[in-house]
This record gives sequence, structure tokens and C-alpha cells, in this order.
Amino acid sequence: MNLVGRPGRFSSEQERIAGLEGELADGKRRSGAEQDEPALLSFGSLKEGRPAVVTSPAAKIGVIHCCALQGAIGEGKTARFYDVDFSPEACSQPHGSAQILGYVGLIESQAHFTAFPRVGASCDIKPRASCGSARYVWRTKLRIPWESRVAEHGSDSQSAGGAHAGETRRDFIHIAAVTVAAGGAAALAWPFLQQLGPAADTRALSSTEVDVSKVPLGGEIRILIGGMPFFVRHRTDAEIQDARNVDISKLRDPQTDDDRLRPKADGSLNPAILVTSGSCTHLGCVPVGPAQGTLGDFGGWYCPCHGSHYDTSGRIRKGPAPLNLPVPKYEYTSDSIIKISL
Amino acid sequence: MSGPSTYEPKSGFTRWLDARLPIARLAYDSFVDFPTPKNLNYWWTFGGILAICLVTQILTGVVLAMHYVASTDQAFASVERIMRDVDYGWLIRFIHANGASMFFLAVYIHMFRGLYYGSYKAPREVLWILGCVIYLLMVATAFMGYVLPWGQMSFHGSAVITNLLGAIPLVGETIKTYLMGGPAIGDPTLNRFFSLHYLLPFVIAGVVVLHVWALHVAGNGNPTGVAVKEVKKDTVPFHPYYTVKDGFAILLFLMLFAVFVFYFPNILGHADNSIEANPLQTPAHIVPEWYLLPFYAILRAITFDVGPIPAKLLGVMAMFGAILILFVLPWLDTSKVRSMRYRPIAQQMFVLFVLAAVGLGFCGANNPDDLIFKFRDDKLSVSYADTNGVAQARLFDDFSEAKAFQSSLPPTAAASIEVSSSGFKWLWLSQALSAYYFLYFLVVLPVLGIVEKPKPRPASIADSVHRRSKSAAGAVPQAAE
Repeated sequence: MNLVGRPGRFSSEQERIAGLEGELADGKRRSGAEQDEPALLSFGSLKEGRPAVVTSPAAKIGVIHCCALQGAIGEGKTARFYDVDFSPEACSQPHGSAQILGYVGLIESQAHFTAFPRVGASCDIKPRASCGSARYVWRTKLRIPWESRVAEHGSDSQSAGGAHAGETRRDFIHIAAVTVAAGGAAALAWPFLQQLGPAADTRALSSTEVDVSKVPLGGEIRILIGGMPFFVRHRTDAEIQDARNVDISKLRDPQTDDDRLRPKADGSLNPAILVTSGSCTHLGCVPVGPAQGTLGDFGGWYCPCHGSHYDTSGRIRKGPAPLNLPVPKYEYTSDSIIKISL
Repeated sequence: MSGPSTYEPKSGFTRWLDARLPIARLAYDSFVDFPTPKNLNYWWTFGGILAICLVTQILTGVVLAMHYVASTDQAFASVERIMRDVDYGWLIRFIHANGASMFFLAVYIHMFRGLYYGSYKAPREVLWILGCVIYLLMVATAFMGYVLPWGQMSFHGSAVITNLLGAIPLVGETIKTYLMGGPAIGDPTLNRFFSLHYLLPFVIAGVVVLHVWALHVAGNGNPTGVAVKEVKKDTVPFHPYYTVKDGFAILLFLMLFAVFVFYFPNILGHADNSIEANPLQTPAHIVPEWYLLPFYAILRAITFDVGPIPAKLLGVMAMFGAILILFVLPWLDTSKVRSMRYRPIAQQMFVLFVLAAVGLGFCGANNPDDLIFKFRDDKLSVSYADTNGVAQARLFDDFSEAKAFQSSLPPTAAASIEVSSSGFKWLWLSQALSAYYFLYFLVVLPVLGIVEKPKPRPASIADSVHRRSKSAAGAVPQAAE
């Protein structure tokens, strides 16, 4: 029916159907299929599928005879109109007069779906082969009620479960398909995202051991772990005293000197060795220190990029940097060996 | 074919955009409301599958390039690092490596589809030629990509192919030198291959745009080969009819893809490529990837000189000719009937062609001098020089008899014993199949178009669908119950 994607417009089929108002006759009927058929139709339980029965001012006026519908509408358009190619229902009653149960309407943008006019419990859809050849004339009237769509949708609480089956099935399929696709996309995206992270060999190089006994008194060594700079400084007693004699309440990032040390295996601190990150907390430059001949105003480090001064405990004292030089994760694996990890 | 656009922008933004860059209109007219023949079968889904393949290769390839190092010292190790250390690197590399095979599988089916249903005939010649260009680019891309892991097969396979180009008269050596950037395959070669391997997929994507553009001018062909006569009767909109059908086919294809990636990731590769390239040691048996085997078989089938053309050059010509002949196919096939559905003789010739193409693949995978089957049991052959110094040979069933005969000969005969086999060589099969490959294009299709009497064709697409559904309804009405 080609309505999907072109809402609001008549497709060629609809135009053809719209022109098909009137009597549809099917003069043939094969006998034998009548035995198990339900008796009379209960008009009140008439339910619509798509094409659906629309609210008709004239109640109880016709049965939708699907053979007739097929014959008439299928003309010249069988392949496309299989949607509405109703199988005959067993509701054909063994009487010879024509009846109209209701108006058949096509609901805009829904008619693509295979749908059967369901006539409650009293009328079941049988496959085409059971299509009898009627000796009598069935009448049906086809209209296209474009305005009736809202009224048709889902508001009929009396409908049997199957009445709106087409709609709920379609919703279910849409939601299920989109959910599965989204799940698949997420599952696919995860490896593509994860590969951007550090690889296993990179992660394996994320720690290193340093022999702090090799650091000269008053000097420092600089090491790179995974490209990140770290300072290991051997402080003099004067520098240690400077670091301890600071009123920390006046510091921008208050920390005592002891807070910035890590204990040895026996629990004691080794204030002579200070380990800090080598990245200025302002914008990541590497501050200069004893080896470069500049210690800054507070005897620690000086960042030449934007003039941050760090004291002998690596704490920020002056300049734009907001925080002290961070102390990395490290531990004493022996008296003189530390292991620094990222 | 598209006719006037039916796109109607809904929101203020889309109206604004539509007046400035009607890209949504282009997409809508191309992939939503595009009128598509209603009778396309599943062979027509491979276009969409190929689009997925290209996107897959580009996505995974971009990721691999983030981790790969194009250097003869580090290339192999960097690939191993991708496999072992990079998170999900194994997955992405296996998708990329098997994706190449899946890409070629799909493109071959797509091409056979075109050959069978006459998709190359007017007015779709340019569409077909663009497809051939894409295929040629794919071959070049795949070949260069296979060199990058720097395994044994990478190195020596590329050495063989680049040396082939040296067979071209006059300019061959120059081309070869410019391709390799030095006297042999080495760092310069690897770096330019990597650069081009990254570039060419985007060239392919560009040609695909042209391919789709050309497709949307003439419209899809269809299994009947009958042109669309009335858009309303013969076609359905691309969406949802073919988005759903293509989507289903893509899902099935991805399942096959996943089977290879997760269960047989190395089955289409070659074990020798897990050994780092060693220029001093050539593997015993050099073969390209499976998708190039038919052309490799054609190359090796030419073992004879023709006039002044040496066998080596003739083989190269035949190999490239086997692809290039596709470019002129629209003018080789003289039949006015597009679809072979209505060409009973051509249909059989086509089946033979498919068998020949697949058979050539097997020929390419086997050593040309190996035997497919034996004419007789192996015997022992004593070869010697007779009193006049002419080489002779005698066959024996029994070793002691052969040995006795050998001892009876004087030392000047220089007799030796060896096993003598007699059978049908792969070489001969590849020669026969190569001959048919070219005969199909150069003789069968031109001649058949003139002499063959086609079966009646349906008046229109709608008509063919109508008759099929009617006969189906008439044939199995009871089965429905």
C-alpha cells in the first residue's frame, strides 16, 4: 500500500480504491465449507483491523466479504494489494441475501500491514482456499475516512485482543529492532573506544624503581615513567627545617611536610628524600630545580612558564599554580629502593 | 528515474536547511522514496552488503593505523602488539583481515549477479565500468594491505607481484623501481604501500558515490531485465521495502562474518605470514590471498611463448586482461535481452563460466605441476645416454629390475633412477579454464547474442509479478490450509 513514508497522500492504490464504491459481486461459491462455520454474526462484536471498520452511522449493514474484496481490489494490483487480500472468513452465512455489516475504511498510513477485519469470536479468518463461491451477492462499501484515524486508534477498550494486533505488533517490532540495533551498536562501540586507551604493554610500564641512595645531597634526579616526569630530591637538613617551619594555615594548599612523605617498611619517615610529580600544577610545565641552578623564592622549584614558586616540600607558595606538586604513589621496597607507580 | 522530489521538510530547521543545502532531500530521494523495482531478489542485496563491508574496513583500518608502525624493523612487532597488548586489538584486526575476504566474497557475488542479469547493458554501461574501477581499486588496496604485516608471505608475495611488472616491455623496470623505491622491497616500499593502503579506500568510497549516482540515473535493473514502464505499477519505494530486505540480508551476512572472525579467524590467511619477513628465505609455496587465486592461476597458466611475446609477459597480460576485459563487456555482449533468465544457452554458458572461475581459484591454490589425478601407478624410470649420447629412458615396475638394468649400462651412459608419474596436471586444468574464461567473453557472448533465440519476456515487471503470484496461488491453494 505504499503509505509508509508518504503520509498525507493518496497512493495510486488508494486512489483506485477510493473510486471503488459500490457493489461487489462474487457469483461463485463452493459448497462444503459451511458446516463448521459459526452461525449468525454478532454485529455488535464487529471489530476492525486495517482496513478497518469505521464508525458508521448506519449500524449493522453489511459483512465484509473478503472474496469480494479481493476480487474487486485485487484487480490489476494483486501483488501490491496482498495486504488487503483478505482470505474469506467463515462468517459467510448460509443464506442467500446480501448483507452489509459495516463500512470498510482504509486508515491512512497503516494500510500497508496485513490486516483482517475481525468479526469478533464468531468470525474467524480462514485461508483463501476455503473461499467459497457465493451464490449470493455480498455488498460492501469502501470509503476512505481520512479524518477518522484518531478515532480508530487504540481507544476502543471493547476491542478484543486481536483488534489492534497489527498496531501493537508493529510497535513491538519497531521497539525490539531499535533496541537490538542500539545494543549492537553499543557493543560494537565499546571495543572501538577501549582500543584508544593505554595498551597492556603501556600499562605494564607504569611503575619504576629508584635507588634513592644515589641521589646526591642537595640535588635531585628526574625520572620519566610512561612519559610523566617525577622528581626525587635529597634534601639538606636546612631544607627539611625550612619545610617544617612553615605556618601551613597560610598555604594555598595546606599540607604538612610529613603529609608529603611516605613511610618506610618499618613505619618511620625518611624526610631526606622527597618524591614529587614533575609537572607544575598550573599548566603542566616542568619546573626548574637544583640541577638548573634556580630554586625559586622558597628554595624548592621554580616554574619558568608562568612563575610559580614551590618550597622545599614541593608546596605552592607563589604564582598561578593552584596546588602543591602532587606526591605520586610510591613505596619503600627496601631501605634505599622506592617503587614509583603512576 | 527518480522523477520530481517528494521530500517535504517538516520542521523549520529542515526547511531552512533545504533551501541552502538540500542534503536531506538528496538522502530522502536516494534512499527513502527511491522507486525500486518490486521484483528484486536477494542477489540484489549485495550492494548494501558491500557498503557495509567498505565502512567496516575503513573503520577498523583507521583504528589499526593508530597502532601500526610502517617500518621494516617494527611492522611485524607492531602487529603482534595490536594482537596482544592493545585492548580489543585482536578483534579489530581479525575484523579487518577477514573483512577483506568478506568484501571480496560479496563483490564476486555482486559481479556474478551483474553478469547473469545483464546489469552491464545499456543504459548502465557507465555504472558497470565504475564497478570495475572499484574492483580494480579493491585489488590494489588488498594487495598493498597484505604487505603491511610484514610476514613471509607479505614480503615474498609482494616481491613476486612487483617483479611481474618488470616483465612489461620498455617501461617495466622503471615502474617496478618507482613502485619499490629501491632495488628491492624494503622500508620505502612499506611506507608508500601503507600510505596508499590508507588512501585508496577513500578513493573507493568516492567512486562508490559515482556508482550510486549512476545507479540512480538509470535505476535498478531487475531479474526480468525488463525496464520499468510505469513507476507506480512496477516499483516500490526503497524504504521500507528494500531497507528491510537489505537489512535482513546484511544481518545474515554479518553472521557469516562473525563465524569467521570468532571461530576461524586465521583460516583464510596463510601460516607463513605469522613468520616475520626474511628476504633471504622464500617460503616453499607462494600464493596470494584466496580472492586473487583465479588471476594467479591465469598468470601461471601461460607457460608458452606466442610469437615474439615471451611467456612471462603473456602471463602478465592475461592476468590483467582477465580484469580489464570486464570493462568492455557491455560492448562484447551483443544480445538485446538483458536477463539470462530468458536466454537458455547463455544460462548454461554462464554456469560453466562460474565453475571455470571457481575452478581457477583451486588451480591457483595448487602447484601447477602437481597432479590432479594419475593416469597410471607410479613407475621407476631409468634415464641414460645411449651409445650415440642421446638421452633415453626405460620404465620399470620393480626396483631390482631397474637396478639391474642400470648396472648393465656402461658408466658412460650416466644412468639414473627416478620415480615417473603420469597424470593430469593442475597446469592443464588452469590452461583449459583460462581458455574458457576468455572464450566466454570474446566468443560466447558476442556470438550467442546473434544466434540464440531468447524465450518470451514478460511485458512488464508488474506483469511478471502478477503472473508469478497467480501461478503460485493456483499451484498451492490447499497447502495454505
